[in-house]
Amino acid sequence: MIRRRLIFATKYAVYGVIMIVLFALQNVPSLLSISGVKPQLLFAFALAAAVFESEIAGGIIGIFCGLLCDVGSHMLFGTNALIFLVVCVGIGLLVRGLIRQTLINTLILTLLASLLRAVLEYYFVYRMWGYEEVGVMLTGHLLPVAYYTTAIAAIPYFLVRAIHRRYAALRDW
Amino acid sequence: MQDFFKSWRFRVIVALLVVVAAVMLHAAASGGMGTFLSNALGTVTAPIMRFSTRISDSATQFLTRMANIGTVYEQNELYREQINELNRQLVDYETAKRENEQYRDFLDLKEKNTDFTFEACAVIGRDPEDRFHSFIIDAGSLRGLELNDPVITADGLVGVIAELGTTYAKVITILDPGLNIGSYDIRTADTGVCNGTIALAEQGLLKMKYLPRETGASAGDLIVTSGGGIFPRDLIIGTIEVVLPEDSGVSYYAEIRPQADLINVKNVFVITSFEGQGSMIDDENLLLDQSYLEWAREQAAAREESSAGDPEDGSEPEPEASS
Repeated sequence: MIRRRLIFATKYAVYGVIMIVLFALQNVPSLLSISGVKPQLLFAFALAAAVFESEIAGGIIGIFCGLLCDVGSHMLFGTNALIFLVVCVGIGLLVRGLIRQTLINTLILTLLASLLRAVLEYYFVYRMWGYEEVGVMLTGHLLPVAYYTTAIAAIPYFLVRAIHRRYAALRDW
Repeated sequence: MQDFFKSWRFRVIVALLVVVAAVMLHAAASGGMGTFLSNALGTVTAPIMRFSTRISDSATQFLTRMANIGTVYEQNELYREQINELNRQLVDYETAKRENEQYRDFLDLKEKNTDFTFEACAVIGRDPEDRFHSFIIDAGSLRGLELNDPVITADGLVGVIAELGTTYAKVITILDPGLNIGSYDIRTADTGVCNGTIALAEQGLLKMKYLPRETGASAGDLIVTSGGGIFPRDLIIGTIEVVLPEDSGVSYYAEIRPQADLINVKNVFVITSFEGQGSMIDDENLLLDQSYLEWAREQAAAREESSAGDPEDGSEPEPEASS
């Protein structure tokens, strides 16, 4: 029992370290930037974690990733945490009951989740306030970020899958 | 699915939603002020962001340098070519400037001395060991130069050609003790012979010998060539610094400061012909001119008279620059 708890704690400590590293990478101004568009590494990681872990674990990881994104975000503090929580729980439930944990499915889910996040941000941060020419923000920034996040989602997918399998093997050993 | 909504998992998720929503509401209610959670997270993550940014900046700087190294190399080559081109232009400019100065001096001299035939030359070498500042010019017999041709600048007499090649010539300056120049003071018309001495050459001066005891020459007087022989008349030699008696007391001498800059001269004119050229050159090819010979004759006559009157007086000095 203690060993299982130790394995459990170690695994989530590794996830925590990965989150901090991704947070650091995500906040580097010019890193991975293409024409000013940067991927949401923490979002992709949270979605991958939601695919392999339970919906609650995925939700909690989503909250932490969202809170990290909220640090320095132009949005209201907690907005990302809420979106990440809802999306990760939803994906966790889908994977648990409806779809398999494949790369393609993960990429599709990441794309849908990223688009949902982009639309939510577009509506609540820009459109709702009646700014002019807000469509440019959606097409020129939010949607490219969603596509870019989907494009790099394979990396956190394989990373989380490797950690998940490794600790599953240790737990079952 | 219905089981899920009744399970503890669902309750936990709802609890999480409520907590996050509360965090949001609290943040919204704080009116822009950081909440405890955001402050705590910000405090924890600030060093991470600072560190990552620093690493990123260094990496970006390094990668940018690496990525631009080809461009920098090409730019470097381009700038090198531009520098070479500019240097070539600078050489052309300096050459044109020097030629312009030469031609200006040449025109000035030509207007003053219509009988002179000049050859403009550049100083191409100097003997650093020569204390009399001899130098080499870039013209020789192919350009019509001859041995003993006077060498001048617009300021005054510089020297004569002492050694002649086909494409070069060596010039000894008026500081050289081997060169004697018949000269006179244009204010008092006192004549003498200018030549260099080793001691005065160190100071850039030359000596004008055989000034009579009753000479009125004084400091500041202009000394010019008296003409005849190898030098045309009225070439400026220099100005008197001081007039002193000779050791013998029979005559006086003056220390002359050359008018031309003998040490730094870069462009000169060689007078290849002038009226009266070569009218008086002694047998041993030493350089004397008419006025000196006239003076020497007068001195010899005076000595004869003196010795006839006073047989014991044998202190009359021999002229230093004898032929």
